[in-house]
Amino acid sequence: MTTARAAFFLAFKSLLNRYITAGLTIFAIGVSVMLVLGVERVRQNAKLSFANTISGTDLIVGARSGSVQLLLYSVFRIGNATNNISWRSYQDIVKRSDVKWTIPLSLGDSHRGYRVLGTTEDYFKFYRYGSKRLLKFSGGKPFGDVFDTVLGAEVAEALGYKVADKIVIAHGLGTAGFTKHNDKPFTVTGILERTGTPVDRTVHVSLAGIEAIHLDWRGGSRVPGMSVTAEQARSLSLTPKSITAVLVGLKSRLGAFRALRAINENRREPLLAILPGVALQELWSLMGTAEAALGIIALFVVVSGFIGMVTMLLASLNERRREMAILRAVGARPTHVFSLFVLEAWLLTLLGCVLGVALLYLGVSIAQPIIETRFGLFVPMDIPSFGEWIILGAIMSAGTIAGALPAFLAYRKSVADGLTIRT
Amino acid sequence: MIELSNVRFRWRASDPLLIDIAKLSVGNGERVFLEGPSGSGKSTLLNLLGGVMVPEDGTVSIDGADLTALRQGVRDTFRADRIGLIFQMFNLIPYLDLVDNVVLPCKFSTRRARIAREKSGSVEDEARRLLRNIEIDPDMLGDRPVATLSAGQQQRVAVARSLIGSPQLIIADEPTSALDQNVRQSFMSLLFKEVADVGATLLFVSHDASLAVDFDRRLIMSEINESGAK
Repeated sequence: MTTARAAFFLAFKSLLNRYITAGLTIFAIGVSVMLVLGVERVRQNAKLSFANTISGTDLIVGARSGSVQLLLYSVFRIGNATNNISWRSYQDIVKRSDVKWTIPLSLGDSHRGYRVLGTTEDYFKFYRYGSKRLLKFSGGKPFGDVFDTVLGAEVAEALGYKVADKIVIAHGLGTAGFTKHNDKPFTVTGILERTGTPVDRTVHVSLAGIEAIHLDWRGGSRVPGMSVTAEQARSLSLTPKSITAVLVGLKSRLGAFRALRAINENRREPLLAILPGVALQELWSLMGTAEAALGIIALFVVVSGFIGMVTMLLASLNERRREMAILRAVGARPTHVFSLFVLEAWLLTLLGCVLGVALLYLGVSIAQPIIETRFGLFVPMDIPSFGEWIILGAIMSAGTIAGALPAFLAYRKSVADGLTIRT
Repeated sequence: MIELSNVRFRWRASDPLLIDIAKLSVGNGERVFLEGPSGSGKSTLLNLLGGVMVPEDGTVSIDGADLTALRQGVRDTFRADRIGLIFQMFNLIPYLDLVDNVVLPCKFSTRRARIAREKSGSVEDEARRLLRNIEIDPDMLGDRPVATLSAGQQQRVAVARSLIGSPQLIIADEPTSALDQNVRQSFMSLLFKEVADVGATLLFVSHDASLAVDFDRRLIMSEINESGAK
């Protein structure tokens, strides 16, 4: 007990004496710990928010393409649909006896970098995310008029919009340089509460609104000489000819496979119906490679941190032979010499872990708003999770074991030198 | 205090004997000068007396205990409890301060820690008392890195360290070889005074025969060691 305390005291003083090299080693380990924990934290929360993006929807139907692609554009607002589905096919789905509700989705326009989604009021009644949560309004109400719009929380916050503001929708996607539907501005009637899903980054309008702004457009550009004013548009038929995708809720989930097959085998139009859960899994497994790559990189950073530590301890070995002899002379056993080095490695790793966690929280506090607005991913400032404690424990063990190599060499030298001072 | 009989030592069976001492006896409280040039087996003898190495033959007894009969761990504890060692130079651990260097043996020996506390209340106070005895002011020099002390000061600190907790045997291995002539004299008189204070036995190893005059007895390495090592 006394000698254990002595070894700890010596290890601490010895590191304190070499504060520059020890400090750099701790910093290297700290950075690697921060990276590993950061990757783990982002991964965990990405997976969580990913799985929470959509719930309560039994089928997603779009034009025939890949299931991941359909999921990406219909739910994540990433990429574009290669094809639309006709209004008639949509009506066929609506009329199916096993269908409880549908949410039509029409994509393709944008507002200052945010996607515009044409849909119906059913979106606010049936769309669910997380643990079957419905969308809530933080202000205002659903769109009622053709030129009304409901904004996601982030859109409103980032662009500073309030209820009753007027916005102009751009044709196509992108932040600048696109032709705008500036003859037909929309009025903000409602702003949704934050959901942590792509809904936050969406500008919602009615299907009729989408149709109205495209009345005088053909094939992506304004028809010369043809101009339909907003007032004229209201009197015209605003039923769309096609939509991008449909979210479907069934009366019974048990019927999902039958409905799926029926839609996929539709003869009139090549449609694709997918089960959101299955597609989410598929998409996540695609990202699994990137996830694994990140993990491996972080692991190698840890390894390089430990290599630095072992190098530092090994480099000091020869100049410390005298110290070993003095310690032996005052009664230290060779095992004390061994434990002195292991303790130094343990202390360096411990301080590295503490620094790493501190850097993680510093990093999270700085990057949190950036990650949230750029990637829609909320990385919490929580205390380390169970998994993160496991990682810290593994790093502590690995660091201590890495210290065993210089410790063993010091032990051997100490046994060979005994009380004889060599330099 | 020290009894060696028929002690033989070599690194490997194929090597020549490094140590071959038929008899070496040092009495309690005796001050013995052991003269020998480097290479005469002095450092090996030191390791044998410290119980760091064991001979292939014979017995090494310190204070009545036969070291060769003890396990390594027990020998280490024995050394911590009973022996104070002073090396040639650079005796101090560079990352410890003055007082911590002197206190060091008490960290490995509960016996010496106890004795030190009995004398001055705490091991640190005993260290300060010993430092003042050897004319080093711990309050003035205490904050300085020990490496910045002069060679003479460092050797005196080593004396204080060897004496803390009153071990029965002090072994000094050429402690004056790095010191100037004038410093050497004052070092020797301080060493004698302090060893006498504690009542310890002193084994002083050196090749400088001029220092031998004040000792009770003078031994010559080549006469006691029949190994032929020079």
